[in-house]
Amino acid sequence: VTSYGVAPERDWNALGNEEFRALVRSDFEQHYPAHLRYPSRRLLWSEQDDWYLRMARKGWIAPSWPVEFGGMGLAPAKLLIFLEEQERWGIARFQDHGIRMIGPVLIRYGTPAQQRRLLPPILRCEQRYCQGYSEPEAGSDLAGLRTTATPDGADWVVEGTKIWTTMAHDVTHMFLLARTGSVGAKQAQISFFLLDLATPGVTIRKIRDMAGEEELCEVFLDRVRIPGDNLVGAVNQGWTVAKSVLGFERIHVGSPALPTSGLRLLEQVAGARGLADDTAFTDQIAGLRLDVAHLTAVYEEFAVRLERGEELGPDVSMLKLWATETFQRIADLVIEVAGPAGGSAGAVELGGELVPVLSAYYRAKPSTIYGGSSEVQRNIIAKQVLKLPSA
Amino acid sequence: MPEAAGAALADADSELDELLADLASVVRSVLADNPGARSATGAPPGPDRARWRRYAELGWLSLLVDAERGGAGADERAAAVVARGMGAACRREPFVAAGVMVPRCLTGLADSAPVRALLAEVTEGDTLAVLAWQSERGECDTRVVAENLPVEARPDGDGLVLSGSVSWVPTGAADAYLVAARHAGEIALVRVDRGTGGMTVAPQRAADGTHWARLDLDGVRLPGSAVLGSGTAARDALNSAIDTGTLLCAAELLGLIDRMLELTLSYLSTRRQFGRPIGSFQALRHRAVDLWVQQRLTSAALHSALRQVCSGGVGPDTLALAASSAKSRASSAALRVGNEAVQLHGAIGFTDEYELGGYVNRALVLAAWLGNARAHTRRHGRLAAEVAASAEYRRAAS
Repeated sequence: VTSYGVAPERDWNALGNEEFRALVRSDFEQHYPAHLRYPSRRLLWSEQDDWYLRMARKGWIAPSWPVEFGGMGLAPAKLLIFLEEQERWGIARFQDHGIRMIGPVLIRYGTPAQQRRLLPPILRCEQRYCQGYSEPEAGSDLAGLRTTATPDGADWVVEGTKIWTTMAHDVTHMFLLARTGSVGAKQAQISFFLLDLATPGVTIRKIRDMAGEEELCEVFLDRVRIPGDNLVGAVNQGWTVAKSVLGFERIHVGSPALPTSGLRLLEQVAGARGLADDTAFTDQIAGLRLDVAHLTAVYEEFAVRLERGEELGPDVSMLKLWATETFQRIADLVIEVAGPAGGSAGAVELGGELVPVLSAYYRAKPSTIYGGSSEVQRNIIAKQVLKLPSA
Repeated sequence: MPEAAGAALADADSELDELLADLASVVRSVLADNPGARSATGAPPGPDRARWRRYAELGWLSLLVDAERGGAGADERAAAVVARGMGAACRREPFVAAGVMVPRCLTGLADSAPVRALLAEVTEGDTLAVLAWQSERGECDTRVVAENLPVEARPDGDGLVLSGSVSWVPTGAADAYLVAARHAGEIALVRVDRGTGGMTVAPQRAADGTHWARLDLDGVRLPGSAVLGSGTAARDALNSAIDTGTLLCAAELLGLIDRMLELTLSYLSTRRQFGRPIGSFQALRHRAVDLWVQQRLTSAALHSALRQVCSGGVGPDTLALAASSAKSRASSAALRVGNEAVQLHGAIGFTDEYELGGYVNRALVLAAWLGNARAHTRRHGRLAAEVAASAEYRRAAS
């Protein structure tokens, strides 16, 4: 055992890529519960805690973290393989922002005391985080956020409202951005805090979405006290902290996993509807397969750049654009080929199987909105990649 | 793969990348005197021969010929650099048709004196030769087999007689045509020189000012030595040449996309209306981004296809899938970028005075040649299903 968690069984990076892939694949195939594969909605923690607690005990819960902090210490290529294998086997993600974002943030910006206090419970999945960025009046214009944090003794007092916080009702903590200054650029007045959601003054309201699921929340913060040592990074440096951890995340959100899952559903529905030999349909799906294949080709180019240790530039935004918009085209075609079943909620019997026809549609719809809408991604590319003039 | 071997490969890769970057800069400087693209009218009947010989001297016409046969011993990645440069400069010489497909076809045939002779003439730039195999339908949805060929070869003493019409020949200004003919149920590749009695070359103007040709062969008598190859070797060489040409046509289309996008971004940045650069309007910025996305997709599709094709020991299915994948994307992207580029420029984009129109015309020709986006999307879908089914069959059988 390292001071933070379980010591790795071996030096994963010493293995060849394909050897590592085979090892991870066989573990997932042998141990992941079959009934949890490819869920059509986000699972609650209580539905999948057995699996992730096993990963925690095995030392596989934090594949990207360095070994000295209790992670697997995977190099970028190995990390992509690990994530690809999770996706290939249809393994559900839990609300893992603690692993994916807060760990890397604390390792880079946290004090040694913060690291010792906050990393182990994340590794044990006792503390699970949601993201408190968006607000009712600050969506695409995130830097215009209004939540304030005011110093009071050793604490900060936070006042405001966060919204679109995914699964806030099913986690223990939230990381949030709040305004702590009033001079200079809007981005230079923001700080980064960690909040225990059990703190008095926190109210969570679930928001039912158009799919009928309750995954999104609104979180009201009414004079909520956050201890001073839960400020991460320097005061008014929160924007930098928030952006710095997006590096790897930005490639992952544009992975071919979602559209590939859409193609699987499309084949299933088309097969059940007897369209497998319909030329109009086979032409359409052949085109969509190429759209996904070429997404994969671009994705691999970015992966190679990561592997060489390069920082990814703003051009990585195209991955999210093309992945999510392709996913939507696929989901739209699923509905079209489903015929009358295209309006069926939940799973419907098609060709002797229960098929969740609208599941791709409901997953695709918000994907062009969350994590920076398609319009925001296009703004980023126009300005930072194409260098088009502003007015 | 052990890490050490991986590292060695990475070194080899970066060495190759450097060589290709050097080649790209040579291509750019050689083609920098580009007189610019011009429209369908007033173009010369065929390529400038002095320029074509210059390409030969630079080794561009023998990139796919190995060193033992007097070639440069490079591979498709190098040919793609040249093709992309041709596209970016809107050169209309038949580099892919005559400089890639014919050498690739000839090196796939059994070695013989007539094959060696033509290969030498072609790679030295003395003879401009192109393949001729398509019927008027111009099908590209399957691999070429003898029964689909529109020309028939009948034996005639020591020689043979060709009859039939072959369409979509990429230039009517060639010195020699390599005609694929049905011959006793197999494919024969036959050399027919310009001016041979019984052959009429019917030109058809193409949008970019070049000419397609239809060859009408009416009892063309040829000696046995005109047959350069036959049987399965000829079939495989022909199909490999067509798929290689298809892949490199995608590279040339990418070159067109490169320049059309460059022109459009520059126009959006400099053209002012309503007191501001038009590239500051969000509606136009977002459309420009979508064109750039198409460029990135085409580039990634092409380079992924090239990596597969150049990875050694590649079978015909891999080559065909790679070629269709790249050509499908490049054809649709080039037309989309061309259409949008004209619209984003406004009226000037539609004129013959500005260079954009010439690129769009060239894109129309290359997108259609060797199978357009729809044809290759369909072919890719069918082939991928066949390959998956046969893998399934092998698994079940074993």
